Amino acid sequence: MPGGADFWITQFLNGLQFSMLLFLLSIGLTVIFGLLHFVNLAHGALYMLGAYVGVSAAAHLGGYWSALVLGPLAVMAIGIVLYLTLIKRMRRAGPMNQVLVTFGLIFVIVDIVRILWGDVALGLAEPASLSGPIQIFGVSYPAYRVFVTAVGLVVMIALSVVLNRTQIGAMIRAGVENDAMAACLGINVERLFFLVFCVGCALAGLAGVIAVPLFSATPGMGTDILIPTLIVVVIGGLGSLNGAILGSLIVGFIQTFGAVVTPGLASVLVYVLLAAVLITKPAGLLPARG
Amino acid sequence: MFEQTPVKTAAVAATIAALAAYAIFGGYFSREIVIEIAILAILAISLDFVAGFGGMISLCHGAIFGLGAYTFAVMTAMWDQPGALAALAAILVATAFGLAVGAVTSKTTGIFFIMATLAFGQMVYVATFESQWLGGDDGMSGVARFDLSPIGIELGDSLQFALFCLAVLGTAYALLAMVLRAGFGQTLIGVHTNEDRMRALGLSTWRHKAAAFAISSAVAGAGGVLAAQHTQFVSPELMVWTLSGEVLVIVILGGIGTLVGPVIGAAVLILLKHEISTYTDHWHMFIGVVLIATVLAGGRGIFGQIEHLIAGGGRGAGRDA
Amino acid sequence: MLELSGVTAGYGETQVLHGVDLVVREGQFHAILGRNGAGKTTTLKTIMGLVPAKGGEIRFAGDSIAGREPYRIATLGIAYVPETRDVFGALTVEENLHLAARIGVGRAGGWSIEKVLAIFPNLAERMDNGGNQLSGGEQQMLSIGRALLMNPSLMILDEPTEGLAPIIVRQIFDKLMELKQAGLTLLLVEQNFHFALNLADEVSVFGRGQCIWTGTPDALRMDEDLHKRWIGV
Repeated sequence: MPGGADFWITQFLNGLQFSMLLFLLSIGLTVIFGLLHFVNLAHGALYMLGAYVGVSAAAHLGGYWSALVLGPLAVMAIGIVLYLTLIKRMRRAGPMNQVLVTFGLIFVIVDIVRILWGDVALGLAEPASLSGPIQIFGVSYPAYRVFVTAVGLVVMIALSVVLNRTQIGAMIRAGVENDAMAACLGINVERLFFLVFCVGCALAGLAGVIAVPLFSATPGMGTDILIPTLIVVVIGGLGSLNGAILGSLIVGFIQTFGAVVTPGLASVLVYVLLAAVLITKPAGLLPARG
Repeated sequence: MFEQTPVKTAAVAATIAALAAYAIFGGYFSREIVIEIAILAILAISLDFVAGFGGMISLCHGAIFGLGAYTFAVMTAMWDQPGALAALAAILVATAFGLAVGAVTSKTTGIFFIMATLAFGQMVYVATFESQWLGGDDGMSGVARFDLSPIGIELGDSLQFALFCLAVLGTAYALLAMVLRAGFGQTLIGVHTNEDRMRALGLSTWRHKAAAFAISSAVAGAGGVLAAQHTQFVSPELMVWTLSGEVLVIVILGGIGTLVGPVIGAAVLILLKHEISTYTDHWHMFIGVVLIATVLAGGRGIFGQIEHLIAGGGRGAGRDA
Repeated sequence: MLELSGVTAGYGETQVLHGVDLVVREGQFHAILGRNGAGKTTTLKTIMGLVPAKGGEIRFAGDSIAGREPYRIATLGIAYVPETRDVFGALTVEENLHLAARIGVGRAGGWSIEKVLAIFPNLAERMDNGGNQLSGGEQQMLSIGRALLMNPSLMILDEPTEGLAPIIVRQIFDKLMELKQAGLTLLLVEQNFHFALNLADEVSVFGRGQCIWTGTPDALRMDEDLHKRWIGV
């Protein structure tokens, strides 16, 4: 049994960092889901595209920081193209057709990535300023992981302020709750959706870039992260910021601590939790529609 | 309403006959392809039974299929039980699991149902993957095919095994068509079309849906038994959720809610896969494009489109799940 | 101001409106009466664009609005108070009001949040409460207040008295009377016969997805046959 306070503090920081990564992915998915009931299974594939664009940007332009800027922008641009060609059309086609079309997109995007970047895992070095360990809560912990956690927290706070304190945030919450009535107050819900979709894509791209120094970029990374992200969204409750935060923390910590405490059972635990939530609270723990 | 129309009978008979001919006159590889098609077609019609007629888009059918395969493998390779008993056990395990999943999930709808089935399927996948007893990532080998030598059939021979698989497919199709035509199937379709109304008529709709899921799982489990015998080997790959997704593609491409469509879909997709794989290893991109195109074209699929044309293009909007 | 001619609409395969003709003049208080299923609510939803019109013409202030998106119709100056009130429960009362005021700013009508709170003082005390914490009467007031803040040229209301206590119904009646006297154009769907007739300048009776009769409240009061067949009081 591994022990000692240092060990558990490190695991706690790992859990927090993984939770923040999940949060960056699930928040876009959940608001898109809640605002226009759109199921985008290709969200994980967008995350992967962010990672690969980041790798190329870093290699050809200016290292990590250029990746951090270009990755999200490129994914947002790809998201806009997808929106205009496919997603807008599928808006009212029902969850099954949306699942199918975006499932098809996963296949297409994965193969495009394999053609452009090959099948091998690609790495991205963290910036020199973040390469060493730092002292935190009395343990030595990689600075880059602290950075990832901080990015997640900053985004979380920024979104929370925008959603809860601004007019556009109120419009989004109104649209999530009742899009027909929001439209009757003169709100262009379609445009709002487009905006949210763009932000969601950019955040997926951002998550992709910051994940590469931790896990490398592989063609399977999008599909691997999709399932935990969907679980976060469903556990938390569709369309809810607080739900995405809570869900990310639950899933992030269960996976991290589970892997240490009960290796082997850890991955099953998350599914058991999802099943339990679906049975007892089908709308999730903190649904957007009170 | 499900009707076993003459067009359907002709289509399913022609597809199975063509596959049989391909196996008989083709070589070893065409026989292997026919076996693959027959097994996936069994899985696909079991999925169409719940998805097309009950509106239950399951992403755990791969796991149910795998449960059947693993049960069969454990019974024969590990415990040396006779094949018939092992097959029975496999179908029972699959059915019981399907009943449990159906009972728990059938009160949810739409994306929640999809997610719930995904969760249960992945639970089985991960548990299998992590289980040392079941061989973990490596799976298990040494699975025996049925011993039908007393009646003169040698399933070790790829042609005879291919024909056997086609026979099982035909039987599974006939069984499911029979259930759909009977009161049970009519009620299931009624629940799908208007659940509130059926509930108002005093029906316990979730029980009915759970029972349908169990029936479908029995067929999927039978498909798993054949899959285990085909390669004489089982691995967690059989259970991964993307397999459920690929089977869903077969159902959609062939024509969801037609029962015969998935048989055609399996044949078309697997043949194309082998054809395309000789030129490129980006077969999945092709699947993705086909899937998107099928949905954008109205989602009727191959057989749905044929029926639509025969019916004069008159009815169409009815079948979006 | 608003003119419907031969409007047909429905949900999926089921057709509900079979050619509705209706004219609401500027400054008029127009009431629609009729039994359940006569197509009253569907008519309002079709005007708002929430249910697509399959045929016919809808003209508002000279523009054809059939087929436009609901948010455009709202922006043109039609405010809607739905039967279900549709207050945003996840938003505070203040946020509910601010959202509506967003497009009302700078328009004729002169409604501001202060003025709305002056006519519905109950809301003033509940500004920080969530919409889901309001009573039925308060929700109705918020829904009407929200509609006013859009400074609309036409306000349409769907059964605003449904399920409310008599004292609240009285309050709503008074407020609508004030709005009428202030010259706002109103279109009201009601089951409450006396409530509607005491407010309206003109009444239309709906049945089987059509407008059967239009006339003054007095003419309707005297026509017993019309009552029996289409309203059933």
